[in-house]
Amino acid sequence: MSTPAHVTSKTVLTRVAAGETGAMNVCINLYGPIVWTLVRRYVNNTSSEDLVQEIFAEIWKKAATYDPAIASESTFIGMIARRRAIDFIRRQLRSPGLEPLEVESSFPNPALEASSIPYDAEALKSSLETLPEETRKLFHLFFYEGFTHPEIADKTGLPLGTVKTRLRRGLLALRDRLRRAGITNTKTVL
Amino acid sequence: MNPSDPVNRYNELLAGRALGDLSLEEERELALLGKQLGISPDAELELLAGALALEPVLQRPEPMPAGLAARLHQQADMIGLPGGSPIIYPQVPAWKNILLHPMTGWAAAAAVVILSLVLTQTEAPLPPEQAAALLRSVDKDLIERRFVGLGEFKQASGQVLWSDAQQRGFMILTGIPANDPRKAQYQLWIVDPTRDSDAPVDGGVFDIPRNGSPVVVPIAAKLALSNPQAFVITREHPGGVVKSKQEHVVALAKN
Repeated sequence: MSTPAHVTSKTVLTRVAAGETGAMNVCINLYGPIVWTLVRRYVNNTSSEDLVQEIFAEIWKKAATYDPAIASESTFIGMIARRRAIDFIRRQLRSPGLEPLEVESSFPNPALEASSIPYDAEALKSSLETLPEETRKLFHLFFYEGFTHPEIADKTGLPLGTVKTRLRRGLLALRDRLRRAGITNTKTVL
Repeated sequence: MNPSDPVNRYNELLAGRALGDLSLEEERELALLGKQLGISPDAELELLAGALALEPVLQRPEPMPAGLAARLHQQADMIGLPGGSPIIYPQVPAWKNILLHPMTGWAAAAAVVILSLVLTQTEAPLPPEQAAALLRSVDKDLIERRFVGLGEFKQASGQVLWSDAQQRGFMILTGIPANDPRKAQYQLWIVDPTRDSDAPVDGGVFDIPRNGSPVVVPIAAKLALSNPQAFVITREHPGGVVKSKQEHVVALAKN
């Protein structure tokens, strides 16, 4: 397996993990706009800024688990930000104002458990193109346009349950295609 | 795909989790299936969904608000700085529970994580001024009082910072003589008017290892506090006392 293009000798996250002075500031400068923009797609209200602060605290805590062989820094940070935003929304919906903050977010440790599939834009793009057109359309509405499931159901005329199922199965299909895309050391968990 | 196959169902639920669309029932089902199948979720689908969601963001990233960027950098500046003063830990095992008290909101989340680490890692103590700045950044309604040395302890001075919202705080003390813990120890008392004022809350026992530079002492209140009005340091027998006779009042901080 060749070394992914995003693997550099010393990423900012490894510098953060090593406790290098100023590394967290560099990380904020590099990824702050991405985290901010991503969060605003999910939480566009007064809580957005608080959530970004929380996400950077988590990035700091999880920096040591980052493995550049698995994903780019932006993907790793995007995953943390997105998961935090989703967890935030879900807790808001379930019991607003009552749930204590969970310091640990609910996704697994990527460095320890993720399979090695390529997450770079080129591999994603080529694998996406092999998916059925309807799935690609649903992905576009969900990931690119940022529509919710009910909004997608409204736009497409599909039942809500169908939207949900097809997005899930589409994600699994994309993963399977990426797994077959030339990675020889995929760790098959399932 | 056969949805009734448990492995397929597990995969589908994992995908739903990565997409953020699991219902409560499905979350329980996912946990149960994982247990039954003897497998734990990997982050593959999370990373994949993250990569897909990131693509449009990378094309049009928006700058953060200046105030947010400044706060983030302020918090980042607190990390990894060389310690200038020791942190003195109160000898109350329960004090760690105070630091782990459930938080009451999101506003302080990031700094609170950092603050907790600052106050729990002896190898990386924070200089008092920065510790104070950090706590101020997480609670705008912070209670701050000045300590005044009393009697034979006139040289004592310092500051106490307490956050009702976070139920945590600390003291920055100078000029308190070093003590021999075999003979005497210092003890903090907190007067909370919502409680019996004749029985102030025990804030923990601590030592001053040497005379000189300021020390930071996390507050180890054994009870929840609400708008405490006064903080009193006394010198007591080793191990502290349940009720102080106030024979040796070291310093007082009050409104």
